[in-house]
Amino acid sequence: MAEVAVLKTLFQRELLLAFRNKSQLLNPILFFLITVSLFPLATDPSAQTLHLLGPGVIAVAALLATLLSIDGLLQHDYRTGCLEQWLLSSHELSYLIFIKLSAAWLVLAAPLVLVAPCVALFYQLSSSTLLVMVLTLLPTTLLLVALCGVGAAFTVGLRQANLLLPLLVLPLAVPCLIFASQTLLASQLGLPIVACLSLLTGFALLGFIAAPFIIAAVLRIGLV
Amino acid sequence: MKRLGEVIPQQTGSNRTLLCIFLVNGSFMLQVATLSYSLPTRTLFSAVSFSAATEQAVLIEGANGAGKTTLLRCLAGLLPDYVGKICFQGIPIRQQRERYLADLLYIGHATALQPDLTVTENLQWYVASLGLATQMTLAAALAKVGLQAWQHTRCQFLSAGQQRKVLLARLLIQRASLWLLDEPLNALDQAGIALVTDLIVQHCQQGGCVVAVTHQPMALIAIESVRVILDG
Repeated sequence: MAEVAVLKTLFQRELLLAFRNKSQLLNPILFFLITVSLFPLATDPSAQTLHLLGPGVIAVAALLATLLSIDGLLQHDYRTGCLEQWLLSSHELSYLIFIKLSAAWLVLAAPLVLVAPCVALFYQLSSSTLLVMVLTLLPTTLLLVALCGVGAAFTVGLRQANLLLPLLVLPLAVPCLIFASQTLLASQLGLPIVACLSLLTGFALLGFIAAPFIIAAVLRIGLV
Repeated sequence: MKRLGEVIPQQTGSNRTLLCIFLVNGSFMLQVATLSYSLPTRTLFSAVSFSAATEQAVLIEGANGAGKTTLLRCLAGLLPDYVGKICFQGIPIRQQRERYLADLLYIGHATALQPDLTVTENLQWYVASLGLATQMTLAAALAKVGLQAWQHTRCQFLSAGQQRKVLLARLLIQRASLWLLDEPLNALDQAGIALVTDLIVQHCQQGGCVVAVTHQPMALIAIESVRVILDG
């Protein structure tokens, strides 16, 4: 019961912080919207090219938008001393981190999933592909938030963290990127997508469950 | 005097050399023996030893850079790579991390207050995150430290002294027998200093123990205090 109360208070706090800091909340969404909507304008606007470009562009933009927003995930709490207090908590550190990651996903990545079908209209994708896009972006963003969280734990306390974080995370995110855009391409061509999608979802769940333990371990070693 | 009667568990193996020190008094809450800490470039302090019984306060003094904060962070278990021994109620803190943390309240240099959250929200975070037992409501504690009118103010609008007072409210709300306080008098006004002193004295009289890093003299008349001086 106490754990549930902790969950509620900490989750609420993350949401409050996000909504009181609106520029940080809107930054990734605006970045995503702008990037995705500029491509059809800058390239050949024929349906054929856009069909080919669309999935890749949306997957890349989602990845970069997540990266853009996530470097503050632990950095801010580190600077104020909150992480130090968390290390002294009698709750399991990975549990606290899990709450933080979930809230971060809800605040940063879930809006991307929601706006993606809207901007995807620029690419003249079919309605079934739009549905697949939501289904694909859900696990993709989950996995990206988990990966970025691990990256953020490794770079917490470093001054050039926002430079190092993409270098650490991008190689790990590449498979996720490939599977996401392949799922979308396959759905456009009318090919079966179940294999790609279930693999992606499996990895996302595994990643999101494993990440808090990794982050907690890294913080315990690194925060001295 | 909650823990006076507690039996110290048998020490074994390599701990035997220190056994003689630790068996002297069963009521020691915190014992530090030959504690050293080195940075990659130099040794901050070496062979620091002291012990604190219940109802005692330890005041750590020393020049700037002598390693006072580092010593306190070692005691809190935040710097696990120290050399030496730190025992809580007779057992090394490395061996009973969870039990130790459930009885420890650490206020460090960093306030851990989020500027965008109100005083109450920040304290709620503290209560939820740390999992310590609570003994007073938030509102009552804020009234006692004189921040009642500020409870719904965001912390970014508070002065440095008021922010420290928010942390003092933690001392009232959360229950832990060992307090580790880093410069508790920093930025406080006369009333604040009197409040900290009162809180420390009361806590000790109720069977607790306080370790505080401080530059300013504290009038801890009613209780016994141990001074530890780090001389670099």
